[in-house]
Amino acid sequence: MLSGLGGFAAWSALAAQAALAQAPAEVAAKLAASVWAYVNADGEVLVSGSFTGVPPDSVLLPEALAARQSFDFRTDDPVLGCGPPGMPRAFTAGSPMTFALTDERLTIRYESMDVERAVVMNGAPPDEAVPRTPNGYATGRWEGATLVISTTQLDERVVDLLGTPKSDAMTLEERYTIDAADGKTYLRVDLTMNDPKVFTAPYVWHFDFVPRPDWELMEYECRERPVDLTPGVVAD
Amino acid sequence: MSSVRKLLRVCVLTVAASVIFAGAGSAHHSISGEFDNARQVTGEGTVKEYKLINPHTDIVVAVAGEDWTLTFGPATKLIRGSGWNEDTLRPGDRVTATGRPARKGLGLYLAALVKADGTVLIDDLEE
Repeated sequence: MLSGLGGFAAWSALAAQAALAQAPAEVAAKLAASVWAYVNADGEVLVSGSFTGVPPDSVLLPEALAARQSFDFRTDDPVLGCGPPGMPRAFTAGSPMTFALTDERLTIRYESMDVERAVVMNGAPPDEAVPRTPNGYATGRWEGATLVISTTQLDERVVDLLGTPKSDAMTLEERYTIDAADGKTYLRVDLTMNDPKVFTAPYVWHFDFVPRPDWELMEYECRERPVDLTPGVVAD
Repeated sequence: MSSVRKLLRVCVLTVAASVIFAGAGSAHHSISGEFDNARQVTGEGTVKEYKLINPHTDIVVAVAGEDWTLTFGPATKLIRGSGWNEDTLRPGDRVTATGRPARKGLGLYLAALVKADGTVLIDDLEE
């Protein structure tokens, strides 16, 4: 009898493991099957992304707040000259995006600014010998059905078009979960910025996306433009 | 009043009164930077260049002997969201435009754009 119960417990554990093992494959298949479009706070699906807001003044350390207040996009924003937005800015443009996933590697493409981002999925620890780059060094793993991406080795630039600073101490954690509500499928993303030189505490951004399987990502091919004719800052 | 009706009213006023961009009114909008959110202007002109590009689409329009650059959102938005393509505008097309003027130079960030045949290409005027 006891051995029977033990067998049931072992079977249950195996079944649970199988479910956990299968969930990432199902989620990965859903992620890869579509372009994902950003949904703003009003529930609108945006065809080409949009400004997703900035961290409020209250979460910034005094020096970071001063840096943001003195930021002049005309001279200080590398994106104005079509330079790389880097992470997390590439993500927080609310751009349509795609996922291509294998056992070893995840490639995330963002339409806006033609950003392609590589995420190592083979369990290798972050390599601190790699140079700092705009997108940093990203590693991914599954926690049940949640895709978790950790990013280090980011270079110094800005987080958004208002010039929120990004120091060499910044690390990111993104958590991606597919969810269903009201008969629709959503990709829920929590992005945590850890930067003790900028924020009073880790700052968490939440974003929702919906699948658009009939879309294709377009080439963005950014063209530099005269600064006098550049819409720079969202005012409200 | 709907945005389109408001735009048509603006067009009529424009054709009747002026072919030169002239400031009037105010607008609340989330675009600022090099454009003046406090003013909204309307004018009519002839398309000289049409550049469906990112991050901002530009249309150069001749107005009373001067070239104005009309700026709008990314090509990706116009192509996917509004069905624009390389033939949406052609040199020689007459258009009426409304938007916020550049602080420097002859530029406008578009809130509305209508072709002479009445085709509404952009209708972002606020109620």
